[in-house]
Amino acid sequence: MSEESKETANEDILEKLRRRNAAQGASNTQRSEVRQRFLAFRLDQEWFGLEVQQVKEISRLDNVTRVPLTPEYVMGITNLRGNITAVIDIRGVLGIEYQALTAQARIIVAGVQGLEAGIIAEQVKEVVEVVKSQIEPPLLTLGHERGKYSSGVVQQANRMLVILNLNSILADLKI
Amino acid sequence: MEYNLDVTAEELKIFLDEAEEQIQRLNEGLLALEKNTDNKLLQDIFRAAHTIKGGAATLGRVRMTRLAHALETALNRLRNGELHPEPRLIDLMLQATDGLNELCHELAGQEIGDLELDPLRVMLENFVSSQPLVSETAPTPNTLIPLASHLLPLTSQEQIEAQTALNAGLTFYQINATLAPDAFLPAARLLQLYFALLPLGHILKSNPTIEQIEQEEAGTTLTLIYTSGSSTTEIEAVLEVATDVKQWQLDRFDPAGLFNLPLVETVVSTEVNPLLSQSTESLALSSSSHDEIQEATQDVKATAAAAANSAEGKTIRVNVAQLDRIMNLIGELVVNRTSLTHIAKKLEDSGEKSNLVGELNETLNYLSRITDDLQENMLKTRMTPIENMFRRMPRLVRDLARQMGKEVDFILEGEQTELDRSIIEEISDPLIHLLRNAVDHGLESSVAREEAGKSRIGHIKLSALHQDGAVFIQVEDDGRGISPAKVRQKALDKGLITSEAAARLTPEEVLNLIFLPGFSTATTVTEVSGRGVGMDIVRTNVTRIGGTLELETVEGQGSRFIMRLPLTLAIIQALLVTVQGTHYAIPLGSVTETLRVSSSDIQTVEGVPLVRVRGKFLPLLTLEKALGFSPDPKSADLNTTLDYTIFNEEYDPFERQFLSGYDKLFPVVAVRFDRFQVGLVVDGFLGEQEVVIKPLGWYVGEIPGLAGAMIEGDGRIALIIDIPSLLRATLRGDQAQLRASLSSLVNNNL
Repeated sequence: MSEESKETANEDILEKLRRRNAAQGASNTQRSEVRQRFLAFRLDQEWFGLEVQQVKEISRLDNVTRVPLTPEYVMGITNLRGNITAVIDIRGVLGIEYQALTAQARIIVAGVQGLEAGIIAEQVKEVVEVVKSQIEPPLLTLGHERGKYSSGVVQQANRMLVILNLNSILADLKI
Repeated sequence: MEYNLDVTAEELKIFLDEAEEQIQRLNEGLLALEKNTDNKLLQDIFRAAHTIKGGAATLGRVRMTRLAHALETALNRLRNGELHPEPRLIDLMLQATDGLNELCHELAGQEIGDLELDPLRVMLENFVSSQPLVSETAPTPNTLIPLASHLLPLTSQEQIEAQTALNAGLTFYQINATLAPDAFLPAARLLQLYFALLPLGHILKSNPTIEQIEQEEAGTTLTLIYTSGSSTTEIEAVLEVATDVKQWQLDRFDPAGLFNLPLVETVVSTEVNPLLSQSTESLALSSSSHDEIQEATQDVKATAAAAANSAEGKTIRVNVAQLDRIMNLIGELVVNRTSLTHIAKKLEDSGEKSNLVGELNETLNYLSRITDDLQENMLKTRMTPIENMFRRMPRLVRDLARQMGKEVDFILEGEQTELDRSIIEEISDPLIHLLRNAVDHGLESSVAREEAGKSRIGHIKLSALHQDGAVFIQVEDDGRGISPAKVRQKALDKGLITSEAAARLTPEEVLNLIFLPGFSTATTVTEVSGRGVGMDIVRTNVTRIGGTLELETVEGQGSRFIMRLPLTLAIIQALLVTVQGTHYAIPLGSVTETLRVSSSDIQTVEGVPLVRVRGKFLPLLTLEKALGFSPDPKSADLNTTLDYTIFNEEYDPFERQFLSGYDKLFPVVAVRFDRFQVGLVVDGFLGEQEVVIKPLGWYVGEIPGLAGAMIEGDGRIALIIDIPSLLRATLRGDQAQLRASLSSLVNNNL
């Protein structure tokens, strides 16, 4: 995979997201209910959401260099435009079975306050808009770890979206 | 009590930067003064004290102003030959300099320690005033006359003018001229004389004053304090031809009398000088600290501006973070340039026939040259002379020597040697430690030295030298040297080695024991050194930045510690190797050789594969294992469908192949750290390369065994190995077998 096409692919996805955000943001102000937008991505059969504001970039999974003496969930480090960025695979942490990563796999670069990391997604689908009041607290049945790293769940037409708490993921899983 | 003057943060910073330099100059100057009194030197440090005083006054720092004033007074008397630079005085003046430094820290908003500044100042003042005048016992060749008392006292403005003249190295004269009694228009004659003298110098004070002459309130005599750079003959010529001057006298005088006038009241009361307004003058002087503050300000601002102007165009101060950012950007540029080259290559390979391909390649060549040049120049900007760090050392050595009651002649060499500034920061502490050791343990007492037939004064030399792409820093003393026998005994006593091992050690190997943790040759713990943290920390610090530390010593004649340092930390020469598709960079400084080892040459001792290289056993370890990759591949089948390899299920092919007895040549990189040597088995060598070190990122932080990462030309990341920490981690880690074999290796070889 050349640098060039990788960049283009990223730019395309990001650009689409931005446009959609802008459109939704415009309509958002006219509604009384507070809405939030999440980037929906898939791990195994489940869907997770990250707050769109926290997502900086979506990148193809390319040339991750593994780093010794790091926990299992640290896949390694990769070069994102000259920045060395950690790539973490939260599947193990969330108790999700490992599936072989395919060409659909992406790195979602997300972060808070300038501290960013790449999170492995088996597939990145779309940005979904959710009415805030529809977000329910994390299910107790999710188990300890999953409860810790999610801030809520939203039932959608055909799936359940688990909203991830990026703050606690980055803070807790930092080496 | 401090005044709160309106000072911007920028002005404050300028003052602090300036003060730091002046304080350094004072420190150096005072130390040099102890060795020989040189007028130029005195002038220089006097000016330093004066500049600080002026600056402090500008900022309304009363304590700092007073302390600097006391120092200035002492220096002035030294300059006038009224005091000797004896150790006690130098001590006091150094302490005053420390005090100034502390006050600067306070000004910068830092906490400062309990420093009794007022008593210190008083001590210095008392010392200075209690000393008999040296000039009385040792008259200077030019006889200086005492100043006519009716010219005194000077106003603070005049004192400053006098000071300026003194600083400029002008000669002070007193001129007495008397007109003929029948002179026509005496006031006009006096005025003529007054103006005739102006082209040759400056009239600091005149009696009567110019105003009085102009208003014809003058008699027939004129007395002047005159400063001039012209020769006495020239001035005499002017006086000689002055109209109607019947009698004149030109005398040099000692300007010291102009400054030390704390007792204004007595001076004024004993002098009858109707022409001076007694009340205003004494008022001016009694509030002199305040006035001085105001007036010295002008003086100093002008000096500072002049200094700033002269420095401009040569150097500017740049924030280091800024340099680092530029450095990173250049790294990016290089990476992108390589990407472009790849694209051009692809275009060419695709059979593209356009002229544009050729043009692209041409431009790329040009771009390559520019980026290389840019990178090289950027690296140079990070280099600074080691001088700034070296300059702190004479003071340290002197204080230690005084504390230990030893006499030391400290020599600095090669201060201009340039090093990456981050390296300079790193070696400051190790160097201080080595110097402390040299003064404390290295040098004998003066008595012991004489008994041993050596010069009474011990010599310590700190030198820096640029050679073979590295910088050598040496700390040398001509002291007692280090006795291998004592070191051996000590190591045995401390249980650092077994007696069998000790018996086998060569003297050189014994000396190396001082670098072991917990070793300290001092039999008693002193305040200066020997607190248990010793040479091992020094060596570790030096090794961490890619340097080495060696010791040479001859018993009874002295010791020499030789530090070999890389020129820069940002870029290193490294050997690139590949393991499991991942690239690693091993700093060349740690590599002793590369070999290809046949599996039939490998023996297993206590479960550890070893190979014999020139009679010595080299334990082998796969790089992956040394790095601590767990044998279970993470996320097992993670990327079986991807077209690149991130992980390989087949862990450690070396072991597998080695155990299978299949004859194969294994690429091995022999690396060394301290006394340990290990052969790291890799999959292949990729060659040597200059490598820009980047941190692993906030998330990963520091990993034992890794110095950082580098971005390769194709954008991939290679890990940079840190051999010292890798081997240390291996030795401490759970690889018990290897550890066992390594320690046995040490015992065998040492």
